[in-house]
Amino acid sequence: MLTPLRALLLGSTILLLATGLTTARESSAGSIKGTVVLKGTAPELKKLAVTIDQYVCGKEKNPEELVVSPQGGIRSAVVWIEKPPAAAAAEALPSTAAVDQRECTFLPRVVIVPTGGKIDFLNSDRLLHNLHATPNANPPFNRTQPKGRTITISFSHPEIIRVTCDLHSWMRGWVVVADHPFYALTDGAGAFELRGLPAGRYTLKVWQERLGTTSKDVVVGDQEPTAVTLEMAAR
Amino acid sequence: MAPPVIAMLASPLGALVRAVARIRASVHVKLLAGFLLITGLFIAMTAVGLLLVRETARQTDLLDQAHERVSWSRQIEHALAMQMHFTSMALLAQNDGSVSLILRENNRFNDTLARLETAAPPEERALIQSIRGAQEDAMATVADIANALRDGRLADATTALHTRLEPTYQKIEALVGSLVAAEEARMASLRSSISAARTRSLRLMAGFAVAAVVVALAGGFVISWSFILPVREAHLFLSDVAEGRFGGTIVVPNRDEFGALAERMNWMSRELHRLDEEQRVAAETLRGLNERLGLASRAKSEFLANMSHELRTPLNAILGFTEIMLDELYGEVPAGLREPLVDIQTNGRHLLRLINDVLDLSKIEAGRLELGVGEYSVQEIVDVVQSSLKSLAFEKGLAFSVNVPPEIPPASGDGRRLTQCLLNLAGNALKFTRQGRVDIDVELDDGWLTYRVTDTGIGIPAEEVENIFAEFRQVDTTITKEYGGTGLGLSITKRLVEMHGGRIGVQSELGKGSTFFFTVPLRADGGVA
Repeated sequence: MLTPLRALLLGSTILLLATGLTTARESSAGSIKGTVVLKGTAPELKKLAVTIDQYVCGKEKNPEELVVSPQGGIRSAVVWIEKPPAAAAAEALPSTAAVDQRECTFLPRVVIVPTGGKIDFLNSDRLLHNLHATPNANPPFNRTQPKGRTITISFSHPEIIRVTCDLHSWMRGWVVVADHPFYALTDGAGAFELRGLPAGRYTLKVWQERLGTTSKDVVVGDQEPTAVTLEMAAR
Repeated sequence: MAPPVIAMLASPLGALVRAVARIRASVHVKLLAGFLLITGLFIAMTAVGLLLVRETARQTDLLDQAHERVSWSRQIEHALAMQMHFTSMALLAQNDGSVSLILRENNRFNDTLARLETAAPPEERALIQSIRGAQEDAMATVADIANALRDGRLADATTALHTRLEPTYQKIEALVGSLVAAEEARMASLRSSISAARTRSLRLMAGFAVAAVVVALAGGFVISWSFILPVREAHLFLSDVAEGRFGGTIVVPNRDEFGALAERMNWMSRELHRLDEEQRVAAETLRGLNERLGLASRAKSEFLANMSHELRTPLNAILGFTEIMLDELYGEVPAGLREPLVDIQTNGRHLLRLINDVLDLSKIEAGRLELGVGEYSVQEIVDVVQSSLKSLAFEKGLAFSVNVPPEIPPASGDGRRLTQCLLNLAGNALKFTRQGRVDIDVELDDGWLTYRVTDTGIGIPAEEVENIFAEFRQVDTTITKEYGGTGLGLSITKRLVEMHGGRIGVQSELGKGSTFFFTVPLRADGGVA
């Protein structure tokens, strides 16, 4: 009899095999295909009551600080290699990312940008938002934004930055400034992929805004994509 | 019929009553239709009332909405003023807290404007779009001022305030002002329309109520009179019938149960009339027959009276000669002839009594007997009867007593006939009593004299009591044989008592005795025949 976890692993292995065959032809380098899953039961998160600007923002907001799929996959977790290989053949991350503010929510909630990259923050709502962040390494910003205006902010130092809105307390956004290309964001099923990795032994790190950071060692082969499951403990 | 009814029948209402009566439907259906008509009117009234209430509610809703929009417009105006105020404050204070206040007010403005835009009627959309456009300018300017303040560019912020924000705000204020004016005009028109609707519905309801009452009254009147009229006709008709005027007909316009009833009554009337006619003819025939019978009877009585009178003369001669012979005036009567002579005398007297009775009865029946009314003494009558009969009582060994109260005053009547009556009763009593006694009592009570003869004789069976006063009747034929008598005595007595205005009666128990009595007025005048 298959346990749900085994079924998941089997399913993802078949998926990895199928995609792995295609990538194996394109590049000689190895890759990691994995899933970030929650260990334990997901905490009950209350909906966030909206008390102001209900006409634009709605009456309440889904709590998005931890979104788990029915199979346990964690969405919007960031996975990266702790010590990247010296001669990396990976394609660079796009230097410009876009974040929209729509119905008083940052879309996407978590965005990865390389050092020296920029993010275009757009306000699509018919009201004022106020981008506000006080990072450690990068310069702080506190900018009022009318409807339709885009504010571009550059990030030069790697770190994880929380972005808020002074006017809408429930708004949360995260900017992960990456100092190398081996960064990946999990999708709705908790899946991610890191490509262009030379074979070798690596330490994988994973961060989630609520669950914090964990790490795991993996060995990456030449040909086959390495399948890995990263477990994060519920807390 | 009473005059108001006639007046009513002559009016158009009367025509309506007759029209309703002529409708070919049952009373049940007519009543039901009447009730349904009124019920329908009430249902219509309720429906119209509900429609009016719904219309008023809709207009009230519109009024509420307009009121809400005015309130939001006022909030917008307030938010504008607050923004200006907070902007000035922020220019003075130059900290993030005061900047947040401007932003907060601006967002409040946006939120309210969005509500207003959703709720606004289509004709105000353009105006709101203009406000929205101006507000978007204001939003950008506010953001610029906020950012300039945070960057410490005080001069830029002040310039933006004066050159961009203030004109924009003035524009918005003017636009909101015209919005408020439009909404207030709308509210005023709604208010007057609601008030007009209220007046209209009040009038409509009153009209309906009056119409319902009028229809109910008129319907009730017409339907009830369409029933009352035939009943009244029937009443008059039946009164005629009760008073014996048959053959009348009743005319009603009704084609319902009353119509059918009237038809039956007319049929009954015709039948009654026919029967009445037949009966009248029969009665006429009978009257003729009766008259002839009366004539025949009188002829018979006259014949009998004449006959009796004629018979008495030879009989008196026989009796006279017999007596002379017995008195031996014609010489000595041989012993062998005396007994037959006594027999002749006895039978002759009996025959004379019989003839006298028949004569009396015939006279009475022929109406030729007249009472010889005069003063008489009750005591004398009783004494005559006692002395006439005491020898018979003595012979039969019966006790015979009379009792007349001494205080009875002289009476008026035919003393001779009354003596005959009492003699008849007392004679009968003695005749039908074998042992015991016979008593005669007289009493006066409230102007009436009662003569009573009590015996201890054979008595009369209850079924014969009714017949004993009829002519030629005795209780049975065997009695005649044993006791003799003509059987006419009681009948004559009854007639004589009745001619005095009195009555005769008997109380009897078979085997124990009888009491015969007659009652006559103390002062009989003989006029009562």
